[in-house]
Amino acid sequence: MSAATGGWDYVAGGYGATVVLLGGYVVLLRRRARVLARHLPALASTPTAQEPPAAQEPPAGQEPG
Amino acid sequence: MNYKSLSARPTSNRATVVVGGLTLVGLGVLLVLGLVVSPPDTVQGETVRLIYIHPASATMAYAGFGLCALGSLAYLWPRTRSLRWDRFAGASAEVGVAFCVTCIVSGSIWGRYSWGVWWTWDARLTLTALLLAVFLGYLALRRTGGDPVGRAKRCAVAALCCFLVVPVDHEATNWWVTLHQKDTLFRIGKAPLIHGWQLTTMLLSFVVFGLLFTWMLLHRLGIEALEDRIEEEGYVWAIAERRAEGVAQVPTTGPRRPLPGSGLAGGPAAPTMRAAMPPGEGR
Repeated sequence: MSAATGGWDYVAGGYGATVVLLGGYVVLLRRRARVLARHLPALASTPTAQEPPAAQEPPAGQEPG
Repeated sequence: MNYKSLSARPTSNRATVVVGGLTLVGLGVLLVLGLVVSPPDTVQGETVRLIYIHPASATMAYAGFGLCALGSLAYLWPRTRSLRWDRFAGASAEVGVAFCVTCIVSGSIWGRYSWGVWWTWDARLTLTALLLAVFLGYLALRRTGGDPVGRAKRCAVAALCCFLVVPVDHEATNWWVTLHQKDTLFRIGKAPLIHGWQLTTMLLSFVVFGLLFTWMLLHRLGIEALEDRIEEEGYVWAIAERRAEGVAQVPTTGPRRPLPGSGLAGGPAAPTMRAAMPPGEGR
């Protein structure tokens, strides 16, 4: 096969494998970055602590403590 | 912070755009020179075109592992000790592993044509496989839990040990009789073994792969920065949430019990997450 093609099939295999491996890594990097970036706005929009409600008055006729 | 733009291009900045553009142009020129302009070799035929990706991949793997060792050294050095160096070392090692895998796969394809086998336990090949294995182990070590400072110290020592394989791997073809060919370009006191367009294209391949390596490393470092922010903000968020829950349980109206171990019930209102964040991003 290689004799007929002069080695072009191996060249194609080598270049193709390089594109797949390094390109795949780049895709993984971008996917990881996007997933992480999605978490940041979620954190930023988290509801903050509420103000403490005003102390309730005891019912009429009932002594505190 | 514009979170919308952050989601679209989370790790991009001016440097990545410039380096990425140069890399794309360089890859285009490299493909034209490597597949069209450069002539076939009298011995290796068309497969000599693999020389424009295989040695450059190996060099970038060495570069990644070398930067990992430098970052680890900087972390262990008391005057420069910072977790930034630890993160730099981890990012460099990961990009180096990507190029190391590319080097082994492209070399295996080349070997199948030149030697008739996909793999042989030649000194250079074996040491390159060992190099990949030890740095995969290093990356696994980085995933272990525990105290970040202690982990960084362990990883830095491990990285320096792993890096010892690099010079041995590089010199394997000189120290032992190997099936793998010796250096083509950088031969002490001798001219390169290739000339003309082959030499030009091979030199260009180092430049282009260097740009690609830099671009990947910049993005990988951006991911490290994002992870740090999430870790910091998530921690502050968790504190704020617990405080909020604790504050809500202060009045006698609620049947819920205070959070065990929170120690925050009855405390003042928690600040907003942003206000509660420690200044600066770095640890």
